[in-house]
Amino acid sequence: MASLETRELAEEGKLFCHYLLGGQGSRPEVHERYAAACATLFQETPTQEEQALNLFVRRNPWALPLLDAAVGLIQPHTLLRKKLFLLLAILETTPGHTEVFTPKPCARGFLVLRVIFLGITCLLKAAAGIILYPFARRVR
Amino acid sequence: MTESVDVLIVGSGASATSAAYPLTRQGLSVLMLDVGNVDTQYSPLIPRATFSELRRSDDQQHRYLLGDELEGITFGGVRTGAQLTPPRSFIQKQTEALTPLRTTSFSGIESLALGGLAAGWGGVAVPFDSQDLADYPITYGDLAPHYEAVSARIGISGARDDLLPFYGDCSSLQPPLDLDSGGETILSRYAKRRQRLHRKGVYLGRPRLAVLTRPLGERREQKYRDMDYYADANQSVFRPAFAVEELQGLPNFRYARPYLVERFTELQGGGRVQVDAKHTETGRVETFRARKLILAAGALGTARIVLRSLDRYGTPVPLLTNPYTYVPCINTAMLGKIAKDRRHSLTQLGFTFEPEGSGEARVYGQAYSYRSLLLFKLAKESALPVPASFRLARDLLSSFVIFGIHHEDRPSAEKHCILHPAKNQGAEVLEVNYKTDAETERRQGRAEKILLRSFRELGCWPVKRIHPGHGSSIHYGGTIPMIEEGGELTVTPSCRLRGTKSVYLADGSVLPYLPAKALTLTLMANAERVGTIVSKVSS
Repeated sequence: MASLETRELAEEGKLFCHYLLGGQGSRPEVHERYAAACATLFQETPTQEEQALNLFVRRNPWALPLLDAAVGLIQPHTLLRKKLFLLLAILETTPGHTEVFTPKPCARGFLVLRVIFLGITCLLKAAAGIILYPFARRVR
Repeated sequence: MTESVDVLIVGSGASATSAAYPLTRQGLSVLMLDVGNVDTQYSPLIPRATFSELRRSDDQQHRYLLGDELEGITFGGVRTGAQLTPPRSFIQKQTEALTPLRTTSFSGIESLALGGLAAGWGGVAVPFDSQDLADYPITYGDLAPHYEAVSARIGISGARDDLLPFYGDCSSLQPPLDLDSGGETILSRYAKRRQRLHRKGVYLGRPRLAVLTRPLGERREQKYRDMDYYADANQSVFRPAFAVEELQGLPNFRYARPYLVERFTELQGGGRVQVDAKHTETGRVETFRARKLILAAGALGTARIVLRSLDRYGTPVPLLTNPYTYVPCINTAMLGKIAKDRRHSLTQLGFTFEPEGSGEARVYGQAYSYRSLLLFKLAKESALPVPASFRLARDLLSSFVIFGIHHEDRPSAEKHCILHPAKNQGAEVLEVNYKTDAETERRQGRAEKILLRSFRELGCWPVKRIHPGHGSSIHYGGTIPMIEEGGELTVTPSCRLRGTKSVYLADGSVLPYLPAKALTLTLMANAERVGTIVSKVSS
């Protein structure tokens, strides 16, 4: 039977998958592999701030896009980002999710518009996240 | 009982195997000593399928793409050998423990693998020309027959195009590899702007690669599966391990592992040489004897053995490594398009920059596409939210091109390594110090700016310029240089270690100067030359 910590990490994996895949469902084995990978890669005890940030996004999933955007600018090497990239790597190497990572053809103009839109939404999210970040990192 | 042979070779890389061929042809008994790490963990898992096919269907792909210990996922800054995927991680195995380096200014890597660093070689195989060899005590004529012999043996593909004056001709040249979609667009733009770029001193063409496009012996041609960073499935890319396998079919050749050679001692006034080697599994030191010894353990590995054997702890020896910069670019011609699936993972195009009339050195480089090293590694470099990072990386993937730029390197007092004896039951440490002067950096910066402008003319817009650190070119040399009339810790033009009668060096350690060109073919040609010299004096 999986330990409490493993179950919590698997739940976290499910939450992060939902975020990374834009609401698409993910396979349970991905969450299990994520939990095992966290145990392998992140053996050092996280700082209090990192723990607080993780706890905050688990309790408030709506805040994840905002805080991810904020820490990407101000703390790019924080544990939250590392965990998200780890899960991204796991998803990328899981056959059922490969399609999301495969480039699709599109008109050049549409691509430029999409990049501009992406840039604007990222900026807005980061601005909101930077306001939220001082509260999130103090959660107990 | 101590084993005795005609010639003992240390190492199994590109140089060591090249030195072995003329010796075995002469009928001499040859023993190759090597640590010889291999990958047995991942290679059996990798299917013979294209990168796209296995991504869609293989449930085990995470094992060889990310690694069982997730060694394919690294956090933090740019590092040397980032292209070494989990199936290639054996190349660096045990080096931290067995050949420790102490440095804050050098980020080079070493190898104790079967095939050495060339087990992960990108395959760029170009000869040095007379201009490149101007500071050598040997001429192009001395190396020419060996370039031909090595090229015919390993198989080199390429084209006779604008780079021919720089790459030279090769009688056994196989047709070039097919270009991928990105490479085709760049070459087609180059064709339209050719004269203008030539006036700037910039030349572009198909790369010269040790990759087969026609079968050669047991090896087969490139299958364009885009798995070259992971597997050697049909052996189209040359690896020294194939040469070891071939040599092992000969009655007068023996490969022995896992031995880390520690020192040599000349006996009988230099008529014989004794080698002490540690069996890395048992820890026992065993002794081997030979009439001649050829050291080919890599520029750093060979320096260690020589300094230890001659008891020259604390004595600095020079070190050369090509300064390297890479420039990720967006190829606008590929924006929104899908690259064709049939492709190889190695360099798509080669380029040269020849500064006009200034006496400055040529700059060489290669252009790579990016796919099989996975999207998450690209996304990781962005400060955007993670989903936005990977979507942007995915949308731009087909248009992503990386230009790698190499500069020449010359010896200076601020580039050296020193062997320190073991202290307090610790290990012996090789200290490496490497610093370039401001004027050299300025000169390199000027050349890079011209190249970046040229990349833009080719429709490739630079995203940023990355300097991954000294040693990241994985081109090392010059530790025990070849000098016409030198003193101790140098070799003669025939690569015999001065002060010895029976010890020869046949790897990068002997190169007194590194032009900006890829050096592996020259290492192999020179090693073949050394093997020929030793076979003559031993017969």
